[in-house]
Amino acid sequence: MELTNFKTKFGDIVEVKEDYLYLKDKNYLLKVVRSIHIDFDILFMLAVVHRPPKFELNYIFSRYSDDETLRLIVEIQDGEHIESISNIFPSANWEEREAYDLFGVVFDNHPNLKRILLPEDWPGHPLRKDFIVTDEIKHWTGLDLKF
Amino acid sequence: MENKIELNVGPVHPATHGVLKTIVTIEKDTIKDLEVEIGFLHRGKEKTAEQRLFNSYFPIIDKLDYVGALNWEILYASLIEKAMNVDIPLRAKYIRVILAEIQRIMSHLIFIGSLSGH
Repeated sequence: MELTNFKTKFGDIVEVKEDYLYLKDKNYLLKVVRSIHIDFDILFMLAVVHRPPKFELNYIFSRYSDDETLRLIVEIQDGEHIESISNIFPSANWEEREAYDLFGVVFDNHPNLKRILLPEDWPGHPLRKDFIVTDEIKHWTGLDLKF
Repeated sequence: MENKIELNVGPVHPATHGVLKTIVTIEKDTIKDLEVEIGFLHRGKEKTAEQRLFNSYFPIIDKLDYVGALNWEILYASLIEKAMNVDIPLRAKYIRVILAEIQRIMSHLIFIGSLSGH
């Protein structure tokens, strides 16, 4: 898959970089992802990088037919929401829950946006750069959580 | 509607390697809905890595997979070598490949073994 094909497809919405696509406006996410879904049928991974005050969301797509992958990068500001793509790629459901759990990124229209790895009463989102490991967290036992 | 029962299976069950909890909704003998809860083995390794020097993280990366520990060590070491622009000798590369293969075979054998029951 030539990345330049996407340039002609989307025009100015995406920027074609060396080995990834950069989405300039997060409001076009669904449109671009829907179009990627024609060529790529797996959402391989959603990796989030916190570069304060921005969150960089790396959507990595792949497909069953060969070993081609595609990386789409979207940046959002701290506190901004982004549209969920779990209607297009069902595997995004858990990936987005993980991003919410560890980074506090909120996905709009997600069917079940709650913590996935950490307990429900965990304080804060640990992979944010401004998360400080306090004594409360070090000695946290989780005994308040009712099963 | 009142026939529906919500049942917690797990987090620990003899048939699961690792820990997994499922919340099943049962109507008579039929499972109508199932929700999976994971994360019981989550130990926050990424956060730990942030707070340690790179060389004191090796004992922790070992424990990510108890049947493929060296694979993780090789992966982590290669990552650091890449970041620091370090070249390793050919002999070390051979040793890594051999160890990775042994771990891969071991991992498969344990998988097959656990399929057959305990």
